[in-house]
Amino acid sequence: MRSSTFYKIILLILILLPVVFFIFLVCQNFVIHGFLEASYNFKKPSPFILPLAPKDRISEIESEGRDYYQSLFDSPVYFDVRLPRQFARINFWVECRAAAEETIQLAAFYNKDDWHYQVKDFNQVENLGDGWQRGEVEFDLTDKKFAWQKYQFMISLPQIRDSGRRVDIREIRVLALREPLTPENFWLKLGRWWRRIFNKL
Amino acid sequence: MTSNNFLKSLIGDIFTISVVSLVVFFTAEIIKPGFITNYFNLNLFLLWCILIGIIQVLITKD
Repeated sequence: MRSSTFYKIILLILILLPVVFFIFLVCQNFVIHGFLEASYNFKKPSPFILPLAPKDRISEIESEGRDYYQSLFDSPVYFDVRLPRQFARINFWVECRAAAEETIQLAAFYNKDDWHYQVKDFNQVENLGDGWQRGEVEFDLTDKKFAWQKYQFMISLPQIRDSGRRVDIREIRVLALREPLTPENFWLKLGRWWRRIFNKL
Repeated sequence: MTSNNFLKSLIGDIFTISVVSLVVFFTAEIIKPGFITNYFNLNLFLLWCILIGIIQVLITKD
């Protein structure tokens, strides 16, 4: 009898484990807390920040001590940020090493097919030593195209063409923000979601 | 329930729960790509299921 009760408790725990994990994944995918943080350090791929392209404008991934980086010698270089949902804003922190005369800009595409984009300079540049610096830039995503769960971005280096210079990038970090899910807005959002589903049918 | 039966039942149930979970996770991944794999390696979970399956076969055989 005791053994049977003990067994049932173990069984319940074993069933609850994947259920709890699935609920955790649902929360992560619906971004109920309102933010998603991700980074790509060139050492291992990130599911959220996809690799730089095209390959003929960048080097292979190289390493220097514990740092892994990729060199850009032509412009522009594209990358996608794959997010589980649409977001309102995104902040980028890019760690790079470049010559003092280099201008580094980041652009977010409204629509890449129409070649319509918003370009921004880094608004804060922090010196990290050994020539590395971290630049920050923020984009509003409400008017940017979100297709196949991706927002499209590019790194623009307007003065690099035929200069022989290189810009090394060792980390791209993002913080994407959207309205968090609260008990107050839950029913409102659920209603909107149902309306969207019915409109599609 | 003897300890041998207890272990056999436990391994059998772990295998069932693992396979059902794998099917649910895999279906979720097909419906919404990245739903699982953005956070968790499904291949490792498949490996776990295979391992538990092998253990179950060996225990049942004895």
